[in-house]
Amino acid sequence: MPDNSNSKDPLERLFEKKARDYNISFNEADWEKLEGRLNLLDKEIATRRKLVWIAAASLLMFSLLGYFTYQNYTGIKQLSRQLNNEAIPNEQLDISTKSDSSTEESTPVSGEGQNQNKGTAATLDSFRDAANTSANSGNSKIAGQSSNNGGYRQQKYKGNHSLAVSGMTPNELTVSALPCQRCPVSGAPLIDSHPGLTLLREQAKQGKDETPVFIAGQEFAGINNSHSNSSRPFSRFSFGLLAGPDLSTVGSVSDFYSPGYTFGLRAEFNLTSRLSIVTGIQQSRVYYTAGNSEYKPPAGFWTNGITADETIGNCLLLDIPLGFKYNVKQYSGSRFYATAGLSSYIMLHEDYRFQYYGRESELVEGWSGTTGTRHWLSNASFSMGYEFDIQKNWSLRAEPYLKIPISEVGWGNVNLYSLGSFISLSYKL
Amino acid sequence: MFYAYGMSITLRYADSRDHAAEILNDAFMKVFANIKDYDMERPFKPWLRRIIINTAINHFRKYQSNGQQVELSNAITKIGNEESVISSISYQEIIEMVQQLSPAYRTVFNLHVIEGFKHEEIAKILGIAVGTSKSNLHKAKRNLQSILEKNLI
Repeated sequence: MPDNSNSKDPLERLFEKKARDYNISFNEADWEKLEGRLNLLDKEIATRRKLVWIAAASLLMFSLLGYFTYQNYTGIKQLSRQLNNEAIPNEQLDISTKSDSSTEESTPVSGEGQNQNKGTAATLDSFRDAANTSANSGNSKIAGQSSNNGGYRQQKYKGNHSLAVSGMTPNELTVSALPCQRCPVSGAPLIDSHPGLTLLREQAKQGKDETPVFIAGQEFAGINNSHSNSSRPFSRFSFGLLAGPDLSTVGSVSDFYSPGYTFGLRAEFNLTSRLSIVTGIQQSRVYYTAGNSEYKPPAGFWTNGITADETIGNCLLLDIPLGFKYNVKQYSGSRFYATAGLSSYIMLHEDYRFQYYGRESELVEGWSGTTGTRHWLSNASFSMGYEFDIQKNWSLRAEPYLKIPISEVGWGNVNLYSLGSFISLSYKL
Repeated sequence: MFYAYGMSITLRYADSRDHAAEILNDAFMKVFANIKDYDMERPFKPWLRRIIINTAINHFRKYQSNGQQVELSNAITKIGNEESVISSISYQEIIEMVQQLSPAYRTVFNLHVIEGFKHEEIAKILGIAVGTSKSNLHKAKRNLQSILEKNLI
C-alpha cells in the first residue's frame, strides 16, 4: 500500500515531514461530546437488553401457560371420552334429569316422595319399592319408567344392564337389596369410579342365571359432586424443596453478568383454600457486575481515593422469604398462583474483583470475606407460578420470580435485583 | 493517548477543527463498537489509523455533493530550495494550508502524499477514475504552492 518511491517532489516531502511533527493539545470539550454519545449508546444497549429479557420471560410464561392449559384440556377431553365410553348406553339406560324428555316412558309410580325436586337422586329404597310394585304387576325386569311427578324416579331398562342407583357406595349395595330380584348377576365385584358415575358388578347370590349385571350409580344434577373439586384434601401445612437459576444485577434490571443458582426449603400455612402464608430458607449464589457509582465499600477502602470503574461480585447468601401466596385460578388438579412478600438476606461470603481502565496497577484488585451481615426485609419479591398435582399429596411447581431492592446489601452496599425461576416439589401434610 | 494522534490525521481531512473533532469522535465510536473484532496480536495504532482514515473518507463522500471547488489563483511559481524558510513553517500552518484546499483535492493529497496510497488504490477507495485521482493531486499541489507563496511573501 505505501508508495516508497523516492520520486516525491519537495512540496510532497515538506508536507509529509511536517504532518508527522504534530503537537496537539487535548481539548476537554471534544471528549465531553464523545462521552455524551457513549452514554447514549449504553442506554440504548441497556434498553435493548431489557426488552429482550422481557420478551423472553413473556414467551416463557405464555409457553408454560399454553402447555399446562393444553395438558389440562387433553386430560379433561380424555376423561369425557372415558365417561362416554363407559356410561351405560342410552337405549338401555335412560337417566335423564329432564322431566319432559320425549324419549322416556313415563308411568306414574306411587311411593314416598323422598326427593321432591326434579333431578334429585332416587334412593335404593325408592327403587326397591318401585321394583316391587313392578314385580307385583308382572314386570320381570328392573324398575320401570322415568317419571317426574314430584316423587321418586324410576328408570326403564332393557336387557341385563340395569339400574341407576344414586348416592350409594358399592359396599352398601347387596344383591338381596337389589330391587331386581330376578335380574341375573354374576361376577366379582368391580368398581369403576368416575366423577358422576359409579359402576359396580356384584356376585349373584340368588337366581339361576349368573349373567353379569351392571349397576350404575349416577349422581343427578343438583347433587354436589365432590369429584368436581380438586382431588387434593385440604390441609393446613405443606413443605417443599425448591431449586432454580438466578440472575442478579445491580442498579437496574439489566446487564447481567453470569447466572447463579438458588436452592432451599419452603413452608406454607394455608389460611384458606386460596390464601397461604409462605416462608422458608434458601441459599443463593449470585454474580453481578457493578459500575463506579453502584458499588460503595466502607469509607477509606479505595487506594488514594481512586474508585474502581467496574466491580465483579460473587456472593453466597441466605435468603429468608416471608410472604403471601394466593391461588388465582384453581382447576381440578392444578392451579395458578401469585406470591408477594419480603426477603431478608444474610451474607455468608463475599468476593469482589475490581477493574480500572487506563490506570496504574498498584491499585487494590479485590476483596473477599465472610461478613455474616444481616439485611432484614431488604428486598421485595414477586412471583407467579403454576402448581400441578402429581399425586394426592405431592405437587410440582414452576415459579418465575423477581426481587427488587428496598435497601442496600452486602459489603459493597449495592441495590441487588434478582430474576429467576424456581422448580419445586411440594408435599401437603 | 491516541487523541493527539487521531486529531493529527483528521485535521488534514477536515475543513476546520470542529469538523476534525467530529470525524475523530465518529472514528472512536466505531473503535468502541468494533473493539471485540480487534486482533490483540497485532499493533493497535495501524488499526486505529485505518478506522480514522475510513471515517474521514466517509465524511468526504457525504459532503462530496455539497463541496465547492475552491480555485485559487493560477500563479504557479516553483518553490525554490529555500529550506530555511520552509522549515520554519509550523505544523499548524501546514494544516491550515491543507484545509484551504477543496475536499476532493485535500483527500487525494492526504491519501497519496501522507498516507502513501497509490493512485489505483485511491481510485478504488474514493470510487473515481485513476486519471481523476492524478488530476486532483496535481491541482492540489498547484494550489498548495500558491498558498505557500502567499505565506512566504
